[in-house]
Amino acid sequence: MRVAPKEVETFRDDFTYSNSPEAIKRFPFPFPEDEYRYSVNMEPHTPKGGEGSAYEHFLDIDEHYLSEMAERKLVLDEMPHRCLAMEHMELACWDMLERLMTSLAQDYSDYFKLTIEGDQWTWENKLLNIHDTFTFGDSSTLPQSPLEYIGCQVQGDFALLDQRDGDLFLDAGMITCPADWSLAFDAGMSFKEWHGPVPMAHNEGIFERALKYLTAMQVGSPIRRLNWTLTVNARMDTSPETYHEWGHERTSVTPENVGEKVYLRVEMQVMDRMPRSNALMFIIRTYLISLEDLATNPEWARRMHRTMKTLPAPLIEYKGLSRYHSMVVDYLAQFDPAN
Amino acid sequence: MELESLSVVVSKPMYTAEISDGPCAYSLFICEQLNTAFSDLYEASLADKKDLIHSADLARIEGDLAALLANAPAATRVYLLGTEKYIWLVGQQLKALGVTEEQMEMLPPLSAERSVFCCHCYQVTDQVFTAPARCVGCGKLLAVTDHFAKAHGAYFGYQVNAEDATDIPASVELS
Repeated sequence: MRVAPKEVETFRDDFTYSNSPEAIKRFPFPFPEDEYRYSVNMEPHTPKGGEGSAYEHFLDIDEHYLSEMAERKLVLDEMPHRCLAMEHMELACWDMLERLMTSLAQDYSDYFKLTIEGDQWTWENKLLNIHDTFTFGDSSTLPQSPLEYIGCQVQGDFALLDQRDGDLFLDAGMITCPADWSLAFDAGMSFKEWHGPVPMAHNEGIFERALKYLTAMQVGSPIRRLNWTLTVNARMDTSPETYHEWGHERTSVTPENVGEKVYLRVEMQVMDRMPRSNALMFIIRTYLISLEDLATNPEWARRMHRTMKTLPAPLIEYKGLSRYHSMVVDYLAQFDPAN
Repeated sequence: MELESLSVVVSKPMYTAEISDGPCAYSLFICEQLNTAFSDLYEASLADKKDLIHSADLARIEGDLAALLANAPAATRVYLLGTEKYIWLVGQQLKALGVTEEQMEMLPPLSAERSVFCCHCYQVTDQVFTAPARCVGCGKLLAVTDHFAKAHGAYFGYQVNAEDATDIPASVELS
């Protein structure tokens, strides 16, 4: 790890979250071209960007690790339903636990250690002071369900998709930092159903192609894509469940504070086939960067301006940007010489 | 692209009054309220074996279904009539017993009423005809979307004025 976890910062109330210069440099900037357009934009989840890049390892553990784990605990203490697994997903949960533990132990050996002796597994997480021995496959030997146990030790949200009848079903997950969707409501839905509210893409056949691709995925060939939205304040938990608590923040943006108050929110979505259950693990790893931090990179600022300027109206509405989108465009214009 | 086609939420179920009534080994008719058309459909069915359940009591239906479908043949069709929530919740019970959605014929719901799931308190408010609608659980005024969850038999609802307390849209009739 090149960026060591720093002390706990907050994603609510006083919002002490911040990015170091190194974290800004490695931010997964999501716009590949100047004009915004929809695309499936999937690629193999293989290392790129070299040492210290957000793409260096299967899982990215960065300086916000402790903060995100503390935030997740706050969410789950208040709303335990944000983590759920249907009965038939038990095996998939163990698949996920294995995949995450083995990759953490391999890629971040300073922090994580896994010892396997038959079905007796010993797991050590030095960052969170966890040291447990359990029987693989036997949930009664863990302090929590396997999904919650490992999910609370890795940055990002997790969904486990059951594959049957050529479709994917949202049958398990731990969703504490979603970009405005509810696991409790969407649980059990098919791929197209849970993407129901997404505008435009259905007409363009994007979900048919994506589903075809995903259901054909093989073990050992994970893929990734980037998705994005904007968030007011560094709030991780922009869930519908708490929308009545954060919705009003969308009216707090002004031309004076837009640079520090509005964050580009990027999801690095990783999909990986599970070997025993044939489920798809879907990791949604969220990164937040304020516009003023983003603008320290002139190329990003220029490109983001052009992307925001050409964003179609249905997407502005769907992403919840209507109240402040024009202020974002105006703010970014100063970094675009074409203006 | 037309704006109208952009706003279609694909999770919103579509219903057709055209009922496929091909030959099958077993036909099961389930309704919340029995009307003449459904009764005629039952009478006219040429299935080798047929049953009719007329009940609004989901717990009772669950018990009946387990017994009726225990030895049901593969060529089984189930016809459902009721409110939208009713047909989907019975549909969930049927799925748990191995009946696929393709084997179900869901008739257009008896009224335009919706059930609405409140994303804040997870309570479902029934008999919603207009939006925004008051949540029976937490009392919030909810926007009613077209995003539908079969498992809840309900549409997604969220506080309509969370961003600006004074910004409450005029009431509209749902369809």
